[in-house]
Amino acid sequence: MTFRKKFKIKTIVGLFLLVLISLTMTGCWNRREMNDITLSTAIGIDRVVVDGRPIFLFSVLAARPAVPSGGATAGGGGGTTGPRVAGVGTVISTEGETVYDAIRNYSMRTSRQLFLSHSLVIVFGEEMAKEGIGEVLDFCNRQKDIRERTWVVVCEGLARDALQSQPEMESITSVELNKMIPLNQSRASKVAIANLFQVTRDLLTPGKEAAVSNIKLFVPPETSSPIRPTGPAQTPGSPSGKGGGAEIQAQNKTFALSGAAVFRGDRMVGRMDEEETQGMLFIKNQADGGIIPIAFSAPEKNASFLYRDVKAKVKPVINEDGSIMFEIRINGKVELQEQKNAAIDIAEEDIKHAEELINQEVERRCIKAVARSKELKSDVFGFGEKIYRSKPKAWEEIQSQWGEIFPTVIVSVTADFKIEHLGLINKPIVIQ
Amino acid sequence: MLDKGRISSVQLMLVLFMVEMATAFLLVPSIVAQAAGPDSWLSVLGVATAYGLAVALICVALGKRFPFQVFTEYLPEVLGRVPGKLLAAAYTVVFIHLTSVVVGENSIFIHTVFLRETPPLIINLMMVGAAVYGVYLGVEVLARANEMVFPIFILSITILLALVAREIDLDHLRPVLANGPLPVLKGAMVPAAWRGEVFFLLLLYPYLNQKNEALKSAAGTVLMSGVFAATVTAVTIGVFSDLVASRQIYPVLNLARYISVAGILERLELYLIIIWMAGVIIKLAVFYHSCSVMAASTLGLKDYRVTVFPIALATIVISGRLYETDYLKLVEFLSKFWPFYGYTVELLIPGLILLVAVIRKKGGNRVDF
Repeated sequence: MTFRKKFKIKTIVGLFLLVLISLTMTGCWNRREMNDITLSTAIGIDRVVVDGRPIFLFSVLAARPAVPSGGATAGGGGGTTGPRVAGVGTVISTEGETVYDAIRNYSMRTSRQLFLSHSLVIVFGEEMAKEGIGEVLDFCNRQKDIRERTWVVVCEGLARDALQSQPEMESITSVELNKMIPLNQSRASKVAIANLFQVTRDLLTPGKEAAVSNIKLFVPPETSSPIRPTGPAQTPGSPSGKGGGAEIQAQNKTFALSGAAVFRGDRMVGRMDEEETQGMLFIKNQADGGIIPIAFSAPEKNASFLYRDVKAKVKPVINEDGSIMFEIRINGKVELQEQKNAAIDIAEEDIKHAEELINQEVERRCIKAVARSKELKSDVFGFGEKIYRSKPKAWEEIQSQWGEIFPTVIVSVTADFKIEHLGLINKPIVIQ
Repeated sequence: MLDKGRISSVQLMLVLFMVEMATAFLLVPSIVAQAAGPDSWLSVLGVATAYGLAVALICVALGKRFPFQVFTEYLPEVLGRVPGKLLAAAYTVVFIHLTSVVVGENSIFIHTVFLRETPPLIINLMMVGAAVYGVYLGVEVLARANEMVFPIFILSITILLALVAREIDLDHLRPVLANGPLPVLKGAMVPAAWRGEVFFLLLLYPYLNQKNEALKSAAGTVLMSGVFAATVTAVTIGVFSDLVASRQIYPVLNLARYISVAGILERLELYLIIIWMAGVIIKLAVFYHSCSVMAASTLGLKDYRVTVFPIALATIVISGRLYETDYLKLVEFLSKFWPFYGYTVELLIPGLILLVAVIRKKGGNRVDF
């Protein structure tokens, strides 16, 4: 009897717990449904002047909710011909006195709560970057939605326009950028690469400055491109008879990565071109793969080599007279990819000579990068940090004047590349 | 002895490990990095471990003198009835406060990072509820439950660190001892207080079934958590550099967020919260068990279980009053008061008690290691 009674109580308590637990298991205190949020895939931040007051212009490239099928795509009037590639994204921008103010002002423009967790790229407009990105970086690190791996890029002009430019392969600009930046590092290494954490660290670290990818917008020169403005022919660069004067809109442009935007402190001070950027990536150990064209006993470039496994070692040397030297050694492997008219024979001395030319070319690019960064007075290589890491006592003395010392340091670059492969042909193809 | 449970020396070691590390692994790296910079791992591995070993030695010596009593039971015997009872009562209050701090650490972490709009009271009730249930079942059950949680805890964090290991830049750990040993000592202040939590041995010693292995398991705990905490700290600083890590509140959380393997294995921070909650529930359970045993023995009760519920409620109220979701107050306590507070209750007072016991020839055996 007592057993049965006990059993009953146990069953009731158990059932009660079961219900209680299953109720609490369903989720958090409050939920955000998919159709209540805007998924941001890229963020653009600009500094603009409105009514004489500088304000933040915050643009979001949002993944647009499913478009009703068969509905009219972009274009509207003006007689759109052919299917325009309408991205699945839509750009919405708001203004605010601070960044977060602008973000919260979204609720005055759209019906959905902004959800930043899926942002892939942070784009800084040119003016913003020149004025200083410190505040924005503080914001991005402070709040929990934006992730440390988000790419940071600087664009030419307004970030809002950059976000509106059209992707050529992916369905949305942010995804295309997100794939392009790491792809370039392994395929060409001509663009600086930095994510939110790396930029933050470079700005915080004394003796190191940040360099991030730079993007530019342009109208695709291919006439078949669906992105190009329709209607009256407006070929960029070519004199357009009528259609004249009308500025080409951002949505009729696409974008490309282009070199690096270089910072001093949190302000952008200039850009590096592709060669300089590649030199910088060599020194920073970030060049994973790319092409070095050389001119082998010919006035113009006639052979190209693919490099891999590049390792750079930077050794700071402080001379007795106080002058500072950096010895940079770069090792790597290269393989022959193309050549013209059997310029390079496979004979040993030719290989040696080719290696020498490759080394010269790499050294030239590195020196060019160093010269450019000295010109900009921005230690993008982290030379100062190298001194701090290996000679902390010496660094303490020079840290405060590093800005002035850096342009005077002597940098020697020694490259040592080895030719390892020739591709699939053993003997050169000689055109008779 | 109020709890009739028996635990083995390995179980004791693992329980003490969880008491030390369940919260420390998340909160310590940032606090150490602020003082010790690139040498943080040295602070954690060297100085804090040395302090932990000192605490362990004193606790084991006390335990050997009174092998079948918990700390509060033999205090009146050592100090005389009234001062002994007073100190026992004071210790009970200290433990209740420490437990409230753990409750606060938990609710603040979950509130700031995950559940922004869930009332902290709900989070606390769930965690405390689970812990209190364990306390009702006794120390033996806690130790066994921990045998299940411990491998998950260790494995998870090891996997987490391994996944982010390729982002380590060894340059971030240099220069070593650039400013001499002083920053290392300074950096060790806060982690040492955490490592001193091995003093829970004072409350767990009587349940140990092989008393002669007490020192081995206590020292094992201290060394194991030293290696563990130093690894976590070194990886954190190796990835983020001390400049960034010292600015983050939960750098290990940022580590979990930074993991990206082949573009597939990403956003693992929820995995971290599972580890955190599993560890904190065990830690809270041990804290509540010790609190209630102390309270019961001070008041001369027959069963420690009657005190569990009031103490649990008290800690929730206290942590709600003191911290709730106020991160600034918590971090002020942890970085300014906790070291000195910790040294006093972990090392100084037990050390003095041992001294008095030796002088007054109280307790059983001589101290022999």
